[in-house]
Amino acid sequence: MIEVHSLSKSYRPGVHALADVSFTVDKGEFVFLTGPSGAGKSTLLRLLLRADRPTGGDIIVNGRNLARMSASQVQAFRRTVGTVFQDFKLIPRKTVYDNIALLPRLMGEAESLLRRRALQVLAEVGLAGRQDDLPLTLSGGEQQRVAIARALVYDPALILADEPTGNLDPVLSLEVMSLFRAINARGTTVLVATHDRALIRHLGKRVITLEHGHVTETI
Amino acid sequence: MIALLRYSIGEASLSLARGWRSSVLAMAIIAAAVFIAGAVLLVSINVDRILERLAATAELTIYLKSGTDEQRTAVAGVLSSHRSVSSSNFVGADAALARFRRELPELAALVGTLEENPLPSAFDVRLRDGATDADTRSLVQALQATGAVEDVRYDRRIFDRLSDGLRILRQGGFILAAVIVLAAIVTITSVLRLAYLTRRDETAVLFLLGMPPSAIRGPFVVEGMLQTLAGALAAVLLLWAAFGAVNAQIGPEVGQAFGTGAAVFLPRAMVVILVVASVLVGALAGLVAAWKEP
Repeated sequence: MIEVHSLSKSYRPGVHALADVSFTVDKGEFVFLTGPSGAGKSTLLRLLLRADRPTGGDIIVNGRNLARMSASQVQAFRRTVGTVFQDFKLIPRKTVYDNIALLPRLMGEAESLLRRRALQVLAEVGLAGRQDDLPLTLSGGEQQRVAIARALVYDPALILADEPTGNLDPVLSLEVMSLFRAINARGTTVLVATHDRALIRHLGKRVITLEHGHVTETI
Repeated sequence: MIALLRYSIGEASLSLARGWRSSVLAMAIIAAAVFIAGAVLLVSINVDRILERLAATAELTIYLKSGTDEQRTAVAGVLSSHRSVSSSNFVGADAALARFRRELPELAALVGTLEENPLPSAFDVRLRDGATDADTRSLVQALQATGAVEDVRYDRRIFDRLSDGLRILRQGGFILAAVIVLAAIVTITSVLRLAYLTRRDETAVLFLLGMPPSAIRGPFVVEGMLQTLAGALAAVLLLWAAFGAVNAQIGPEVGQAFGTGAAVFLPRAMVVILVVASVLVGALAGLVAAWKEP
């Protein structure tokens, strides 16, 4: 699903955010990307979303080299990836339903099918009946679940999550991770960046460790 | 496409409502630009009608001294051979009197009391298109050299002065309108850029989730179009009201003086062009404001 070859990224000459990073993630795998703050986890996720261009090396996702994509292909690619952020990044003035349905609706999805799909993913994340609520009326854990529902609405083959439990307490963090595990059990590839070692130990999945921009350990 | 349009209109309307003060400013500036451009066109169209009317009437009237047929033939000879003359028409003294009574009936009684016809014979002369002042001066000199000419009335000067005035009005008006249009573009772009920056976090997320650039820019393009549409329509309404007021004051007198009838408002096609051009300016401003990816 993901092949990263000799990837490097420098924001300034001589200062490497990532240096010679290589790894693969198989289809259907659940992988944690971990390391201390500043290790390069977020940089790697930005590169995986083509929000940044690498200084060197290649990233191949689902057989497609991200470096060779045009701007419109990048946007189409992003719609095939479910993305979850630490701070949820929901649109506060739109309802839960509109947050989930906005993008597919703009891409021409029929409203009746879209509604059915949106309500289904909301039920999957445990928020059935909350579609008309505004995000700020929800708890942090609920907001993150809405963000996960938004990521699931396109039924993506890959989920990328950047510190999805960073703003949540331990109990809510476990709930969110359980959701990712359930999503992965259906065959979706999941890559979660987190520095929470306890969570990683709890889930017992494969771990790629980054330190100072280098892969130091793959378990 | 329909979903994108609906989304763009919805977001643009919300943004207009949220930032109504700056939107009103942008609308006022585009309204001023369209009003000035429209006013210049309006004056230009009506003065053009006066000029056309003047061009169609005799431009030189040559009054003859009471004399012999030879003198009249000499004048006719000069007129037929001179390069600046397009056509000429002899009006005898009796015909001149009849024309005077017809055109000025309120003074007809005055000349009726005289024993002799006071009006001289004359030639009405139309000049060729492009005849210059120098050409006309040389014609007048040649006519006066015959010794048969009492006076020459030269309407062309009025025509030339009006033409020059109209040209200056057009140039000055369009330069002023262009400056205000430029100011309007800068203002609308700034207002839309501000709206774009206000929603930067939101658009950045949507962009990362795969929203196409057209959907990111759409609301700002529509917002620009709505602002300029409102401004342009307001300007056309104001122009129409101002035209009505001015026309009620001086329209009939001017129309009667020049024989052009009632003044006319801008043709419908021109109004449509003004409004459409304004809306396109708004769309362009929106595109520029949201061009840079979030």
